[in-house]
Amino acid sequence: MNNSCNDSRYTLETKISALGLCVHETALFLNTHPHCKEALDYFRCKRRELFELTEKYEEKYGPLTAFSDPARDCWIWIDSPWPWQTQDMCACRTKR
Amino acid sequence: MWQYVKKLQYPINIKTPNAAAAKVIISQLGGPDGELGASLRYLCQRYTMPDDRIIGTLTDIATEELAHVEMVSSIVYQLTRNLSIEEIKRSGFDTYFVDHTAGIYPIAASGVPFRAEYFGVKGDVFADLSEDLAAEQKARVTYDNILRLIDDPDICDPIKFLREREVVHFQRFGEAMRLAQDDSDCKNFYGWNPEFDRGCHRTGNAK
Repeated sequence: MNNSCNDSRYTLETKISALGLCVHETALFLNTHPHCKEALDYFRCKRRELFELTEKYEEKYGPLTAFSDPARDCWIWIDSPWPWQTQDMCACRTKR
Repeated sequence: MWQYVKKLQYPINIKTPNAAAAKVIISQLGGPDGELGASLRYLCQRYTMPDDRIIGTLTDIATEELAHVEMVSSIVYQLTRNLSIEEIKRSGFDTYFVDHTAGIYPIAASGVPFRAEYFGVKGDVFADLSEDLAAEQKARVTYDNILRLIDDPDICDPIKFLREREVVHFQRFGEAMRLAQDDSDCKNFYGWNPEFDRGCHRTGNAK
């Protein structure tokens, strides 16, 4: 995760999804193994990575949730492509 | 994707169980104008919508409706705690109890289980937003009717909150409808379907 600053949007998004799955999987495991120290340490580690990378992503490409700070003077939540839209669909979006 | 937040959108603390009230309020979970149908309606409609402002509106309102599913379910849960068999028989809750005990199952007050027919997806921005505007008004009327039937302030308070949200959503869908009409050919709104017909552009924030 060290050179993630230079990552393309897609790579960064894939890493966030992968980390999200790690955190989610570990949470599911911890629900039924709440005293497993090893799992808890792993959860904390991956969670931190996830939040760092999410912050990096949002700074560069805009909000991932409607509650994220747009970090601009205008509302940009609706500007980035929707997850079900493929590249060719994004191309015909009218930019402001 | 979604993430769960372990809190209600608005607090619910009902002190007195009331199975008769639960029997009518459950309609806002699994009834024709309930929160479950609302959320699924907006989630299904958004994919083909021709405008990012409308997709955002549908996404964010659908997400809030999921929180309302949890609120209505919590109301029904708190209303049906620690019921005696006598209370269940007296309140008319027995017809629900026999199939679902005190579990939370999406059903209309009339007893009809949740049906996908409760929400429409026409794949046309004007038809679908008209459906959504009507849905918000119908849900508001259902909450008004619930308020006519119930006088416990512990129940009425969160129901009034939910009613208010219907009014706000109606407002936002009205604005979405206006945006869609403004972006259409002003001489012929309905001459083409921007969600299907080729050569139609997707629109962003600004004209």
